[in-house]
Amino acid sequence: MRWVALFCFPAFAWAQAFTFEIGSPVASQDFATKSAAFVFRTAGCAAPEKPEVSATAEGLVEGTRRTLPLKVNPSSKPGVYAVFQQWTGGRWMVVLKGSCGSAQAGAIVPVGPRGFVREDSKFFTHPATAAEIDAALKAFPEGGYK
Amino acid sequence: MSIRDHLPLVEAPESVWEAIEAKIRDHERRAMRSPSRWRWVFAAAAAILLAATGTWWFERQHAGWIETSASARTTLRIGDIGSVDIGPNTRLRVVADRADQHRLDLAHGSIYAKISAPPRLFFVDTKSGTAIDLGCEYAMNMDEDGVGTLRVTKGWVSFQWEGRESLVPAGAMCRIRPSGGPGLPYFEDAAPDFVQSVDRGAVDAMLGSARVRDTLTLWHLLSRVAPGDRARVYDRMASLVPIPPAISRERALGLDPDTLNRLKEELAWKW
Repeated sequence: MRWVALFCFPAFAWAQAFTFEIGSPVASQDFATKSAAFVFRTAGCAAPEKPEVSATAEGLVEGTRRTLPLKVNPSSKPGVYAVFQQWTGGRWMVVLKGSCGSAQAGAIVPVGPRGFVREDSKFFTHPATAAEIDAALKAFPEGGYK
Repeated sequence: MSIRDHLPLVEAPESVWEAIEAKIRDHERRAMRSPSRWRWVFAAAAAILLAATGTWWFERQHAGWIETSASARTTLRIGDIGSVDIGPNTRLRVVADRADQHRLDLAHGSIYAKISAPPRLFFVDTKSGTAIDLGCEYAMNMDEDGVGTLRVTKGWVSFQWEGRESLVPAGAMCRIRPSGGPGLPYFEDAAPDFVQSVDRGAVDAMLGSARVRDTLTLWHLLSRVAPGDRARVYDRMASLVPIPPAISRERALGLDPDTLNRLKEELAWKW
């Protein structure tokens, strides 16, 4: 049993949870994304070009809750996608959802006038729940991001 | 205004004038027999011919300088790929205006370029190097001695001088000097201490005050410090951003171009 454990542990140690990583457009090295709100890639999926990803914009506009399906744009780099702004006014976040086989991932990315807010972005090993989305919207700073 | 509107006046060939004079004589003969309104039609046609021919001739000549006064601003269209806002007290000229290359020479002053095109179609030469558009919007200010700044607001720009290159992404800037070309780029939201250390070239201070996003600066610093200092620059980057095992530390310290490029691509996810 000890030998089995010794061989198994390194394999588990090298495995990485399926997750999202976000970046500014320069991370894609693709000029077509220069105007994107941000770009993202997945990590921990055995075949990078195979994850299924989607995005919605969740927002609060003049006190009214809004949801906007977004188009996820593949960049010229395999596994890297761009999200372009399709929302106006109010407070908005982009909610990412991904699946790789049985593994799932989610992310909530607040956006402001200067682009995505990395420090307040949240990452999950599951699609973001309605409660998590609402909590993130409520956590916006007074007056929104500057 | 397009680039062609500001090409200099150059005398047209003699054959053009002869053709115009022939047209005028013909017009005069016809006018003797025609209603008066037709004189205006022919006069307009002659004027259009003259303008069209002159414009054609301008395109075939070398570009001249565009200069703005202390209170003037103007906008130059760059083919179908964008525009350049030219600020006051600016002197620049068009070096090339082709489908495969649009190139300006900025002697001094300020410009704001908004380019939407594949990379490496739009270039701005200065005394201290060349800005190469990689799909971007940026502002460049230069004085007559070749000292200036480059600030990028969208996309990213490569500034090159004698083999030295600075990659400047949105939100970052770099100083430009005639004796050294592009300085280390840094994000404009960096701490004042960090910015001061970059301006002074103080490596210890840079390493001590760098945050994750400042790996932009440290990545450029890696190839500019003495070989004996590379290890601590690399290790500081690695302490701020996990570097995948596939990127060889040894090759990076040896400034292997492919390794440096892969390191940059990885760090860029934190910029």
